[in-house]
Amino acid sequence: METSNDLKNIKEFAIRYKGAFMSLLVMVVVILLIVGFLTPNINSIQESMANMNAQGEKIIDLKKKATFLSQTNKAKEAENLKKITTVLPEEKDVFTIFTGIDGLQNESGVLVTESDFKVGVISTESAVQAAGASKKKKDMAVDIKFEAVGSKEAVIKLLNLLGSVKSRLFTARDVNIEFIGGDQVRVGFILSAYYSSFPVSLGSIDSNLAQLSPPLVSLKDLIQKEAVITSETVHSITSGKSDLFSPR
Amino acid sequence: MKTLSNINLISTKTTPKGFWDKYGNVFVFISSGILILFLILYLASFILLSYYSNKLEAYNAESASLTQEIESLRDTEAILLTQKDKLTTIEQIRSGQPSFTTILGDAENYMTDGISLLQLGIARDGTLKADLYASSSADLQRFVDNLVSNYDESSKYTSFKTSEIKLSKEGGYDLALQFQMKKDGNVK
Repeated sequence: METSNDLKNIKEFAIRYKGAFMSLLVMVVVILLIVGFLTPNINSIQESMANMNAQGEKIIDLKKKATFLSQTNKAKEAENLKKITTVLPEEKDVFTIFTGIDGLQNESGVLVTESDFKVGVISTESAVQAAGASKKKKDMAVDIKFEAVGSKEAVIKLLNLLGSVKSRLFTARDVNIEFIGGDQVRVGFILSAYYSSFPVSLGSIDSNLAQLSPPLVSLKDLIQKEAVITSETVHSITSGKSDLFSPR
Repeated sequence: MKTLSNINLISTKTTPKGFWDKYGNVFVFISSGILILFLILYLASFILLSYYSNKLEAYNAESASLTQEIESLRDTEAILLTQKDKLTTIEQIRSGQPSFTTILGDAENYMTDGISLLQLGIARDGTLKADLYASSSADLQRFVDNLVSNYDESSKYTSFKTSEIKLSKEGGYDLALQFQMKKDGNVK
């Protein structure tokens, strides 16, 4: 009798507050739906937005790169590279060292009395790592014991020509200038002829194409204007030297 | 029309109002609001997600197309990259080279009357060694005085030392002078 009363009370309570019960049920269901469906959607939206931003930036870079590359005159730049490679070849290239020294002698007016280096030795005692150069690839120098005699003006011209970019790039170190009487000067130094291998890799497609800094642009213009492609000069070397490696 | 006879004065059976009675409607209102809000947000999120997915797909397609275009221009890129690489190396090498003619000019400017520069050595570390000849002790004195009086903080060279002074066969004096190029001494 009491049980049926309890059931009746519960039934009445449920009927009376069905609105409230339904509301609570709806709230619980909505919370579950938010956790189960809305939150993942919001996360996906955030992820898509981040991807889109990244992709958008990448597209801007790629567009810039593609436009720049398509507007670049490949033939002209290849010619420029040839000239730059004349100044800084990929390999030791003994003959351009000789033609370079010949050029120094002819242009300055000095008499080269010594230009000794070890032919065929590249990466041991006659080759040194260029100061400050990249470690990822090899930038090397061939050292030549160099001595010349000439007037003071000729020697000054010779020293000035070393940094020029007309032919092979040379630098001098341990310079000794001796005034040997009258206007005559003897100059001796270690002449370094540099060479540098090509870059190891191109990098990824979307890597930025680094622009040349103003000093490099000036240097490129200078090389473009002054450098003479030595491969042509090499072909013009005539035979007849009894000693191939003597400077005269 | 209400008359005294038809007015029921018997009090009706009332139950005390509990929490659910008071706030039941509020719950219904809130839950309906939440449900509607959820539906709107879910729909909006679905639309946004579809929009971004489509746009991302378009971006990916554009990126792939550009990548292909750049791939076809890799030769040009290689040329430009090699140019930059070599130019950087050339610039580094050239910038590390002092101007020997400036140094020679400076050394000659130190010479006073009766002093001759016989030899000048320029070492890689910036040390300069000059062999000089002085015609007389007076010339030598004047040279040293000139060096001392002309030296100040702004000078390009420092640490002047004489390692030896000896009497020459010609009657004058041989002097070995050593000095140092300042690191920031503008001799490029």
